[in-house]
Parts: sequence; C-alpha cells; structure tokens
Amino acid sequence: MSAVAGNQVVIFALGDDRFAVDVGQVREVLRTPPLTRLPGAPEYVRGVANLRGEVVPVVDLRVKLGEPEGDHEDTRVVVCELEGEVIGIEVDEVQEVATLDPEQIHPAPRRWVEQSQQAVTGIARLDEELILVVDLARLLKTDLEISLEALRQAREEAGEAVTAAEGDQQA
Amino acid sequence: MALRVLVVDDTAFMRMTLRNVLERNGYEVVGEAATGVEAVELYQSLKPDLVTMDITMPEMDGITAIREIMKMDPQARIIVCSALGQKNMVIEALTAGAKDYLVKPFQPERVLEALEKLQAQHT
Amino acid sequence: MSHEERALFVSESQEYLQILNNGLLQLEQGTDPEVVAELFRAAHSLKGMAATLGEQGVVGLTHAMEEFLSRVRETGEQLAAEDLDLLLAACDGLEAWLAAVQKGDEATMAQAQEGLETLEASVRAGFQRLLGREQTAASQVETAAPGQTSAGDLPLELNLYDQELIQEATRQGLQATDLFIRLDPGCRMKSVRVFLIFRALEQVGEIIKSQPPAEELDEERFDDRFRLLVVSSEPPEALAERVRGLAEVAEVVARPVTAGEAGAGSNGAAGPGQAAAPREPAARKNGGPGLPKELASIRDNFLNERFLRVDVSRLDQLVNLVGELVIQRNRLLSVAEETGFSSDVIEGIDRIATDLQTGVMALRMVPLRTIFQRFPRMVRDLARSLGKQVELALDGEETELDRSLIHSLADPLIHLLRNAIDHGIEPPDERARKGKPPTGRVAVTARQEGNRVVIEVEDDGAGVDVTAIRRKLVERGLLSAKEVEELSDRQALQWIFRPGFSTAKQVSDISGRGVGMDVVRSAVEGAGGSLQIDSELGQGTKIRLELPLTLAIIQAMLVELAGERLALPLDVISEVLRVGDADIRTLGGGRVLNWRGQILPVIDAAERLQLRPAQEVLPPDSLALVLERGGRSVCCLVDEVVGHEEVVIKPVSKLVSTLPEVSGATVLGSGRVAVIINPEPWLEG
Repeated sequence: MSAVAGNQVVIFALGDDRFAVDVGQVREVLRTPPLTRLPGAPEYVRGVANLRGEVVPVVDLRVKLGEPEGDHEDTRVVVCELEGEVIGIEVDEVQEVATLDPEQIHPAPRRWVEQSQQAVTGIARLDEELILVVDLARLLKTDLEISLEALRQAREEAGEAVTAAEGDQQA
Repeated sequence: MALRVLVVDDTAFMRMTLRNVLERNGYEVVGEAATGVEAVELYQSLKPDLVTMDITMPEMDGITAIREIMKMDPQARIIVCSALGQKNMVIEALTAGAKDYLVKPFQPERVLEALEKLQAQHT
Repeated sequence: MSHEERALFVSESQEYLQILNNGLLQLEQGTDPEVVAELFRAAHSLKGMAATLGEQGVVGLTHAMEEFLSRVRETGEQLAAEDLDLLLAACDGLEAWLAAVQKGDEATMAQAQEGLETLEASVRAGFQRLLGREQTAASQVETAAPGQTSAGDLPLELNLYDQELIQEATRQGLQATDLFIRLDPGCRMKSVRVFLIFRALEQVGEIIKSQPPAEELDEERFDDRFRLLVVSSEPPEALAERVRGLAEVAEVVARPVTAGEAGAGSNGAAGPGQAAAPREPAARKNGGPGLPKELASIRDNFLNERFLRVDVSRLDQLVNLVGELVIQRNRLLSVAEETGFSSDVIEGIDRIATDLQTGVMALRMVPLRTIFQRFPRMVRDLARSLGKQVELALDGEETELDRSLIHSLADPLIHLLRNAIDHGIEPPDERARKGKPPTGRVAVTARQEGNRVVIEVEDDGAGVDVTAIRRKLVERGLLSAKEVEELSDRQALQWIFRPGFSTAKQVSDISGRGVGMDVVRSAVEGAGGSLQIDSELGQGTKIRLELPLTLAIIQAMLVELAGERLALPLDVISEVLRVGDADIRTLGGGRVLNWRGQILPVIDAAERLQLRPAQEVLPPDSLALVLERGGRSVCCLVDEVVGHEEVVIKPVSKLVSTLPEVSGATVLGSGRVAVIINPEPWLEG
C-alpha cells in the first residue's frame, strides 16, 4: 500500500512535533468537547464525549505516546475510525490540510513500519521540513507501545533515507 | 409483432435466464433493470408491453416500483417474480397492481404460460 | 444472494427446520398422519428453496427425506428410534449447512455440503430398510390418501342462510355458480394463486362460500382442488372462462346452483352423486351465518395479513430515532424547567414521545418461544447420550423480551439446561436407589415481574454439595477457613458463578470444555441481568435469572460523584438516606449500614469507580442509597442525587476497556454524557 492513499493530508502538532495523517482517515476535527470520565479506562483515555448523539471515547495522544499530560488548553480532537468504531484523538493543534505532490511523499523505512505495526506509513517533505505520515487509528492500538521519542527517531532515520534517495535520483 | 418485455431483477443471472427463455419463444427483451429505480426509468422511456419484476432489489424494491409504474400507466402489465416464502410480499405486489406472479427458480413453461395468459386477458 | 434474501432465506429455513425437529419428536409418541404431512411439507419447502439456490446437496437430502416421509404417510407405520435418529441427524446436517450459509463462509459451506451427501446416503439406506419392513399399519390410511381428481369428495354444503342468499340473488337477477377448480399440480404458492382467482371473480361477483374454507386455502391446507360458490351477474361458463384465463389453473367445472338444492355437491357437472348431508367439513365447525363472516375472513386473510416480516435493521433504525427523540424531549423538558416556561405543547410532545417510545419498543419484543422451542430436541438428545431419563416442562414461552436480550440469553440458558441434565439429574438406577422416580424432571419457566423478566431453570436432581464448595474455596486459597465459615449456604453457592470454579467431579463432554458458570454469569450480566442459585443436596437445584425487559431505554436516577454525573437504574434503588441521618458504622475495616435491622455493606461509589480516593470522613449531607435486587442488598454512597430521567443506553466503545460496573453511557438532556452504572458487582459483595 502506498504511504498516503489520496494526496491530501491533515497536519497536526504535538508540542513542537508535526505529523501528517491521510485526510481519508479523518472524519472531522473539533474543538475538544466536554468530557465525561470513564471508570476503569486506561490512563490515556480522557473520557467520553457526545458527538452528535454518539458516545465517543477521546484519547490524549500525548499520554498515549508516553509524554506528560498537557494543559488541554485550546486543544483539538481529530475524529477517526478504528476497527469500525469511532474514536477521538486529542492533539495540541491542527494546522492545515495540505495537498502533496506524489514526489513529496516517500515510504517509511521498513523497520519502522514493522516496529510501529504500520502506524508509521511514510514521510512527507513539507516546506523543507520532513514530517512523519501516521495512521492515527493504528497509533492508538492498546498493544502498541511506541513513544514520541521513538517517533522522532523514526523521522530522523526516514529523513536520512529520503535524502539519500533524492541524492541518488539527482546523480 | 413480437411483444416487448422489460426484465427487472437485481441478479444478472436471473435476467439472463429470463432473457433466454423469452427470446427463444418469440418475445423481444427491450431492456433490463437491476433496481426499482432503473425499472421505473426504463418503463417510462421504453414503454414495454410487459414487465417481469423481481421483489427484493436494492434502491427501491419491486413493490414500490410497481406502484410507481402503475401511477404512470394504470394499464401496465407486470408479472411479479418472487422466491418461495415471499407470499406476503407477492400479495402486496398483486394488490399494488401486478397481474400475475412467478416463483423462482423459473420453469420456462410457467413463465410462458403466465405471459400468454396475460396477453390473452388484455386482447 | 443479497443480504436481505439471505436473511429471509435463513429465517425461513430455520422455521422449517424447527417444524421438522418438533414434528420428528412428536412422531416418537406415534405416527400421526397430520404431523407426517406437515413434516413432508417442511422438507418439500426446504427442497424448493434450496433448488432456487442451486444447492444440490440440500436438494438431494431433503428429497430423500421426502421419500422417506411419503412412505410413512402411505403406510402410517410407527417409526423406530433408529429412523428418527437418522432423520434428526439429517436436520442437524441441514442446520449446520444453514449456519454456514448465514456466515457466508465458503470453507464451512463446502464442509457442510459434504456432510449432507453422507446424510443423504444414510437416509436412502434407511428408506430401503423401511421398504423391507413388514407393513403393519397399511390398512388404516386409505381415508387420508390424497390424489383423487373428482369433485365428489369436496362437498359444498349450503345452509339455510346460504340458500336465502341465493334466493335473494336470484330475485335481483343474479346467478349462483358452483365452481370446481383444480390447480396445476406443480403450482407454487398456491394460496397466492387462489388470491388471484378470488380477485378475478370478485371483479364480477361475490364469493359467498368456499370448500375448504378460506383460511385453509390461505394456509395452503388443501391438495390442488377447491370449490367456490359465487353469486354474479355472469353465467357459470363465463365465470369458468375467467378462471381458466389465469395461469396454473388445470381444470374448471362450473354449474348453476338453485336455492332449492340440498347441497351443491350432490349432482350435476361437478361430480358424481353424493349426498352432502351431515358430513362436517373436517377442520372447521363454525360454518355459521355465511356471507358477512366468510367474506370478511377471506379479505382479512388475504389483504390484511396479520403479520409482517420487517428487516431488523429497519426496526433498529426506528429504535435509534426514537432514542434521539427521547433525548431531545429530555432536553426540551430541561430547558423548559430552567426557563420556567410551561406549555401544553411541551406536555403534548412529552406524552407523544413517551407513547411512541413504548410502541416502538414493543415492536422489538420477541417471545421466549424462539429459544424455548430448541429445548425439547436438545434435552432428548442429551438424555439419550447420557443414558438418563428426563422429562422437560416448559412454561411461559409467551413471555416477551427485547430481541437483543433474546440473543444474548440463548447460550446461557442452553448451558444451564445442559448442566441440569449432565450434573443434576442422576442416572435412573441411582434415582431408584434414592427413592426418586426414574425419570428426572427439568422445568424451565419464565414470567414477567414488573419491568423485569424472571427465568428459572429447576431440576430434581442431585443438587449442589455446599460442603464441597466450602472445602474447595479453602483448598484453592480463595477464602480463609474463617471466611468460609462465615458464609451462609446461599452465599457459598453463589461461588459457582465465579471464574474457574466448577464442582463437577469430572469434566464431561457436555458441559465441560472449559465453559463454566462464569460464562453464563458474564453473559447474563452483560445483558443487565442477574443470576442466583438455590440448591438442596439430593433434592435439586434452581437457578434464577432476572433480566430487564428491554435494554435500549431505562429509567435512571442521576447522581453526582466527584464532580461527574452518573446514571443508576432506578429499579434497583430502594431508598435514599441522608448520610448524617443514617446508621453507618465502621466494622472490621469496612463500613456497614444498619437499615431496618439488616446490616448492609457500604460501598463508596466514587472510590470503587476510581473517581477519587476513599473518604476518611463522610460528609453528612452526602447520600446513602439502598440498592436491592433479587433478595440481595447493598448500600452505596453518592454525593448528590440530581434527579431522574429516562435514558437511552448507548454502548461504550469496544476500543476501550472499563470496569465491569460500566454498563453503557447515555446522553443527558444537557448534552453531556453520563456513564450508566450496573451495580451488580456491588450486590454480589
């Protein structure tokens, strides 16, 4: 499968780190709605929200990626589907919907695709910055323990591979 | 002149079966529809003499299609096609204006008898 | 096959299989020609449906069954147990195949088809055996043999009322006609053909009588022939022509009837002379005053079908919409309350929403019969394979439950029933030694109590050995010897529902396989129900299930806990006390409430639900709720009671694990989500 099915991605930020997600995976983006705590849910589940009559769990992506909880001020929720169920993912900021040319997107190194259980799908060059393309829903899988630190490393390695490949092409 | 028939069924296989039976016996199949919506559209544009109408179809079922067609043409001659066990739906289709019914799997002689009798009733 | 067709096909086939299963069991008691005929028809219908699908395996097997049954129909002989086993095995094969069709899984289907071929061969072998056997009862059957084509045995009797009607018709210049009609032998959906014939005739006249009566025609309880008495301005031959003009009509004989005749079947073209005098029509005696009733019943039967098959997804959609409506109504009510605005419009909407909700929920109710009807066959097979004698008593099959509950209830009930037979009922010789009748008794009863349904599975078998449970609890280190001592017998018994706890001496083939009572418990509790056991050693066991009538909407009390709003089912709350006024004491490290002489454990709900740490000191203004269900009670502490509301239960995402107390969530009138708490784990202590 290609890194990104369409060529439109949603760019979101977690602190200083930016990520891209295929626009086809995103149902909508919302200002974080009022949440109700869910007894016994994992720590990274902030609670459940009412999304047009549906009860949808909202996950704090920072906590899920092993970072300390933020202040939740002016955060956004990216609504996705995972295994047929709707889930909200709280991120710090949603920046833009970008249209990428095919040459801007590269597959991620196989090692990282495997290690992240396909949560990392590719890497995109955007404004001279390299950002990871992730499958948000897969990133949330309970059995997947991947840290923000690891994702940074993945981006690093992917970036080197891409730069090398681009160098080859030019040569 | 050969009678012009519109065959409506959501499965291509059933349409083919009916087309073969009909064409071998001197009928002209002027159109095929796979949904109720298509059936209504084709009825309007083709003005067939006879329609065979399946009941369970996507996008508008056969019963609704029969009602729509009868609204456009109260003289429409429609034979409803059903699987065994759809008795209530067949009755509903007949009440909606279908003239006769056929039960799947089709036996060619029954299909032909139904068409002939229907033709005879109205000539 | 489309999804709808498949669903329809599967549900129809299941009905026929059920007829086959039940009918075959009836044949054990003796050969009843009506039952055999019904079985034959069921096999035949299945064959027809399978032919539509091109399912040769099923066609072959059902055809072999048909041959077998038609032979039995002819001879009326009593079937041996081996014959019945054979036919029941064939049903099982068909069921397996049907399950594969339902799943749509090619591999399983191929496997099931192979099984069908083997079964077909053995049914054929059985048929040969049958042919070889002495024909003992052949003489009894002649009266029931079908196949004559004359009209002679179809008398159309005219009572005085009919005669008067004919006279009246004659005075108005109308003509009464006796029509004998025979359909093509291969005609399918005969009742629909009859409908078309009725419709054709009613365009020009009125049908005042039929033989067999209209309802039997409608139910296809006739061979190929029937007679109609028609009053019309058209002459007999013209009416006959109208009927002949329809497809699948093999023969029509018409003759005029005059009011003076004793019976229309007695002479003339329709058949050889036969005095139609006192012979009652077989199935129906309320021949009564003819016209209005008869016509009404014809129309009722054909036009206003009493039952309508509806795709379940459409129903669910409707239920969801009503759920939304209830939420919006609640919002409207809460807005009205806040603003102090009251109006008969709001009251009207409230009332209509409530009625609509009741009506729609009623549509989802399904009688327990759908599960119960599988039991006789299962019990028979199980008892046979275990060498036990079991009598099954079913009661309350008509009790209705929400269809989603029926689904989740089937497996637990089957499991309980199996347990009762496997571990409860003793073998006949052992029962004899104990002075019990050799045949054990298992009763499954259902009834509605308030807004809950109670189902009990009771046996008169060996009972559960409470001493063994106590011993085991200590052996396994689950409880200390002292704790075990403190347990009442009843409390000790409840342990059999805990995971990994089973008292069966050996893992039997039947209820072993690692599926224990804990699975039953989680299924029942998952459906918002509860489970209790009573047992007396040597006397038997009774297991009681309690379930809510419906899952989708419940009455709930809204409470506040550590700043969160939660919903508790209203039916479980017996009393609300102010903590400051309640007699709460500390006892052995925990709190208890002394309530009307009972000592109830006190649950700090916020702590249990991990919403905040335990409270050292209880605020006197917080509240203590007394919860009661199925004879068990507990006290739970909440900060505040906010009100009560009818809440629509929505599932919490499968993606997220929660405490067992979380049974769902709901959207409140305010738009906020509230978690719905199932207090069952607290009641268990």
